[in-house]
Amino acid sequence: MIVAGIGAVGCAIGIMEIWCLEKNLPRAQPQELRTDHSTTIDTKYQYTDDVSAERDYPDPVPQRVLRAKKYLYIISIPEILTIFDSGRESIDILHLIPDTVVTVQNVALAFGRGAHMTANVSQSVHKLAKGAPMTRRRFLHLTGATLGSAGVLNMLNAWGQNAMDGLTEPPKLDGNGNGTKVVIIGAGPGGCPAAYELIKLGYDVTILEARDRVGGHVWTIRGGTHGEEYGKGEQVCDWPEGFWWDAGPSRVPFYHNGFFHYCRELNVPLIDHKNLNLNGWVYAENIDGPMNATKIRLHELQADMAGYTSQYLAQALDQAALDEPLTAEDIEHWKSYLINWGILDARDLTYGPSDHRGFAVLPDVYSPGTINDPYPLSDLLPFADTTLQAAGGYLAATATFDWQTTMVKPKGGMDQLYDVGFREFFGDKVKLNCPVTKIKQDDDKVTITYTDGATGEDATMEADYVMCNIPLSALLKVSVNFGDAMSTAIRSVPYAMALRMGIGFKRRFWEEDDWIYGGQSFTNISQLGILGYPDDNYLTQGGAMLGMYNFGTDAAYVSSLPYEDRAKLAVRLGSKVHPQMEEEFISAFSVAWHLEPYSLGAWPSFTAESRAQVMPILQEPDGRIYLVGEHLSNVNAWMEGAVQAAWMQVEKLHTRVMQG
Amino acid sequence: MTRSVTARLAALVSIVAITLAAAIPILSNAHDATPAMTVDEQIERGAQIYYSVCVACHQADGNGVAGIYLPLNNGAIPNLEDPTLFIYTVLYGRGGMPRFNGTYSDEDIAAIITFVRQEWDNNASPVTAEQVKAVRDNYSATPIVSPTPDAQIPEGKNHPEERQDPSEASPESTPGA
Repeated sequence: MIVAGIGAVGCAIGIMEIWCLEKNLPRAQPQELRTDHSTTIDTKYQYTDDVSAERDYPDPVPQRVLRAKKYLYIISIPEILTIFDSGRESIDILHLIPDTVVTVQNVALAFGRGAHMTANVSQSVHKLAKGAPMTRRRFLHLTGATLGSAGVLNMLNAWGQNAMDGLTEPPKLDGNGNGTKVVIIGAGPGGCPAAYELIKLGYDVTILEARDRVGGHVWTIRGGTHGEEYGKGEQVCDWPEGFWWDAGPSRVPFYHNGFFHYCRELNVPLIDHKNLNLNGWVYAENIDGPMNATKIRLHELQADMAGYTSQYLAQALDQAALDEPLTAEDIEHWKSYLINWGILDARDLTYGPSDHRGFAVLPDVYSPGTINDPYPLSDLLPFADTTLQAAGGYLAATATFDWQTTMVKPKGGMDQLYDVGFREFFGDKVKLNCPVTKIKQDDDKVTITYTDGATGEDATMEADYVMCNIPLSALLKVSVNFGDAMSTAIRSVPYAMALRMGIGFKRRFWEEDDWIYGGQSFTNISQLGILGYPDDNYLTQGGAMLGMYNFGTDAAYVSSLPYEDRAKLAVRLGSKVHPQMEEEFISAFSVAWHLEPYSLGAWPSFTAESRAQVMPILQEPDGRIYLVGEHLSNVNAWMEGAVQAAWMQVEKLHTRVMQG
Repeated sequence: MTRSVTARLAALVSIVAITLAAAIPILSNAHDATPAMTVDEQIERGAQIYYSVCVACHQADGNGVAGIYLPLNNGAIPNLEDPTLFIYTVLYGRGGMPRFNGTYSDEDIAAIITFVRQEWDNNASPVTAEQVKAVRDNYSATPIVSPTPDAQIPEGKNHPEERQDPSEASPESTPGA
């Protein structure tokens, strides 16, 4: 606990208690917090100056260092609540920097001048802060819950932060694990970063991995890859050298900084994942009108729909047909915008042919080319409607945030980070082919029973702690003496079904014939889903594409078929977009994640209710066992969620060990 | 003024959202007042769904995969006299099993469950859409609370607590048992 003075109403110096929750951090000097209300925005407490003075950071201090080192502490005093109730600006939050530098921020600044923090926020923050570190991020969540997004934005502005800011680095932890034994079960996207951080903190780490590779759900398929789903027998990939395709995670959103952190640490080069390519195809069937069972280019679809939409809206604006109190200036700006956005003829506000939507005959050295006519609106509407229903996440005017370009991925496959980067770092600390069958904890240790891949015999290992990266669906198949709450929580979580198929082709017809370099094509065939093209090695001989991606009952149905029949179905459906498929087909490799040993599901399908009930239980250790994985995170089904969960659990475990 | 435009756009957006939501393809939405299916019709419809969807994990013989996917043939949960836990499991998922709430209508879920309860060696009573609706109404807000604690499921070779190595299991190491 820290006792410090701080100003209250009328600048009287009072004594109050600060909840110092980051227990492993050095304590601040009380006098540094001694201030009064009138000095709380004094520049001498500016964050950057203090840090630069204390530590040997380059000047200016890199933003990412600043971000990682900011923590929030909450002052708990009735006076503050009184101040808030009175509507006055005041201090509630201190920035405490781990290296004993303390800065004071005026919280009113955080909420914007003239605004003030409500007693409600303070109380709920205080309540939530008990027993866990209050980070800036957690505080922001509370702010959002209480004051809405405007409050969060004001807060971020006051901190000089970017709204995109997320967890970008592992927690800064002091002390050494001094050989405390931790067994990580599962070398997946959660187990790998957890093991990496614990090794760096001086723990004696062993990683038991059931599969013959590091990565878990991260699985890059190449020639020679073999798999064996339950009830389906073995499949072996026979693609030529150089083909690769990711059966699991295949793309990384631009804001998944935890993932990028390890790409930096382990020197994994990244390339673009296009996701969206305007020259990709869009195909629809079972619709009314002449466009049934046709494919068009995405640039045609987007140009036409934006064009018609602009035309109708612009004409309505022009005729003042909208019953809106728009000013003449509003109308002119909006009309002008629509003319440029939809490519309208400014004279009569009509949409027509333009070179945005492509050419019937391309311009060349002999001719200026011929511009295509738009599709008639009534022909296009059923097509546009169904394809947006099927692929709105990609094709909405603004794609869903996670899928916005530019996404990235490791060059050569997602496993370059896991089965190469992490695996080399771990060395003999990772034991492959060692499925765990039983985890038994008592008061002072955990005993893990597993099948030793080298001998095929049962073996046991003892540890002080276990960090378990097994998906909840598969964890149920392991005998573990969890407490009732954890056991019930794990059992309550359903998992989604998903099937992905990679197909190797002799020739890159999508590039040679259709001029599609990377990205995807979209269909409204739910069994087929999207087609995804390789984003590298353009114009080389052949390659592997994502040839089928489906979910739910479609995934269940297709997965019930033998591997060969799944491939035949994918080629039959995919040929509606690429008739070359059958001719160029080499072989397919499909992964139904709900049938995959050690996965038994694609990702947990939480509802808002179940998440609220289950997540707090999953995130806390059960005795000496800590769970780790994307199922502990709101960033579900992304590797980033697993990284962040690993950082959270490592911090919890290390704090516990340091406290003895 | 600006607010009014914003409101108009928001209304447009919500209309689009509603349209999209209404158009999300589901396999069946027979919530209309169609006459209740006979048990034979239920079994026919249930078999149709079972052999295209459920079969992926629970297998054509209903025996599942030992230690991985629970058997439905002679299964403890499917044969409980009170079908509540079975209905609940199909609706909301459990133990890694997917949820089918929202995918199938109450009539279809009743048909699947009736089929399973009467197929193979099973011989339990049929289930109606009303029973499915009752479970949906009673448990929709409490997804973590199972209507039947595992401890109350009769012991047997297909008990859901069965592990890969039952000989290792003891009350201490099998939580909830």
